Amino acid sequence: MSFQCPRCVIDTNVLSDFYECGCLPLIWQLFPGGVWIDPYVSEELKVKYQLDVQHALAHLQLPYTFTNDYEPEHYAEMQEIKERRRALKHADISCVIQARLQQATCLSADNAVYKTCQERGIKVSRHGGILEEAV
Amino acid sequence: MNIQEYIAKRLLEARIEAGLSVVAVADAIGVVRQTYSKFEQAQGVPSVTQLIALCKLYNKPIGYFYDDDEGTFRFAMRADNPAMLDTTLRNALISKLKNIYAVEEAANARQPEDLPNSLPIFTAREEDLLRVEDKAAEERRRLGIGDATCVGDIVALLESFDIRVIPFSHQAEDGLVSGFSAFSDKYGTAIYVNNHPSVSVERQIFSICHEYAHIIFHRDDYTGPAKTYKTRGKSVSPEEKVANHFAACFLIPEHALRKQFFMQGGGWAYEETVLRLKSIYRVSFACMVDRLSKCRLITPKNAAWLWGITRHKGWHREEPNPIGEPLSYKGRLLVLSRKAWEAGTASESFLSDLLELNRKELSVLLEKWYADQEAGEDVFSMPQVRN
Repeated sequence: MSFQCPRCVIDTNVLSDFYECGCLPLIWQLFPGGVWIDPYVSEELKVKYQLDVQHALAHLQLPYTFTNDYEPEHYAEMQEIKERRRALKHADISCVIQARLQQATCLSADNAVYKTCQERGIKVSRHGGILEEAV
Repeated sequence: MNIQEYIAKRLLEARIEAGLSVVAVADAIGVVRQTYSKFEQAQGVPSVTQLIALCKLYNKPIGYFYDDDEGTFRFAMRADNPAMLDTTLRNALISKLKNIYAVEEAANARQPEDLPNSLPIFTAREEDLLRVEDKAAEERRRLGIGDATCVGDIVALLESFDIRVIPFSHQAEDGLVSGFSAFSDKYGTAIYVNNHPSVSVERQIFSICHEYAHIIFHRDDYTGPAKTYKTRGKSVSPEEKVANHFAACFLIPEHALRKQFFMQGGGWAYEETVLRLKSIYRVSFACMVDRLSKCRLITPKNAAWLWGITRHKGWHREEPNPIGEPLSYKGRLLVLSRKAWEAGTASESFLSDLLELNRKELSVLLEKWYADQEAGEDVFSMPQVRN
């Protein structure tokens, strides 16, 4: 079995929860393959939690990656998910898409995001599962 | 139409709607004109950050450019100043209706619309108002409240018949608007009511019934060009008179009022008489005086005396003995939210927007739901309100 360096995509709730309790660096330690934060998640954090992700993570010296240039088919997939699950937000959906794109684990404690990932065969972990995932 | 063409079409429509040039938009999102033009010609798609910037620039919800078409929204606007329904308020109201539709779908609670029969009445002659009164009685029967009692929870009542009653809080600089109603071919019918602290509960109840009347009598107005009605002063639009008359008849059926009035001793109505009656029917003092007068239960002299008291004591501006308990606009949404959350079809972030809860309030709610879940309680408790 080839060695895999785990990578993850963080959703709004997990990011804000870990940030609030001051243990955000833990995620970076557990996922050395890279941490992705979608621009929609950054926007949601800014609007709803007044958290400037770029500034906060720079301050903590935690580098993250984001996909800014989606292909048309990714937008089509977002549209398709939104049409089937109207009660998901764009930040939720983009995490699902991003996780599949990066072949990363989607870190989300949200029932709906969790279920959507599972339906699409995307690896997903809740708070407790984050540690389990890294073992 | 593929997604690239779809995004291009929406970008073009939004720019035209905003009245901006290609150069201005390109500058605003930090690209050259040619690059932006390519987006509108479906020769490329903007990046996520550009799309977010464009949503902000055009005052559109996030995801607007690739979300499926929301159909047509028609607002029946009744105000002396139609500018009160500005783009920001309009978008907020549409967004609320879309979110309710989404949670209904997520909770598997969508039902076919059960709107009352339309009865177009655009004049307010005496014979028209008699028809309006008959229709109010018919609606009370249809909604199962008969003609002998007060309406009770008007929000729950209308929602059980697929009319969404959606609150918004808005204090315009140049006055207050009580409500709107809207039809959307995709998302259904909604009554919007202003629950700003300066709007009494009595006025909110009356506004809901008033808007309901427009849905019955002026439904054609929602499909034609948007209309504005005169709501105040001597030249009040006949449509407004019709809606006001319906609301009064619906909230205070003559038969029931007559009985209650005579139970208070009949004859001359004192302010105490009116206060007692208004608390029974959950209407304003002014509304009750008007109704007593129109039902000819009090003499013109008695009515003039009561109007004098109303003006003298400022009760036309500030309600005496107001209803203390606010209307519950979230009852059904909470049930639907919980069902959707349990089913894993609505995200927590979505629910916080829908229920207008901040992070802490949402956490408290979710903790309770988790605790209930762990306790193995039956959480699927949709009330069966339809007969």
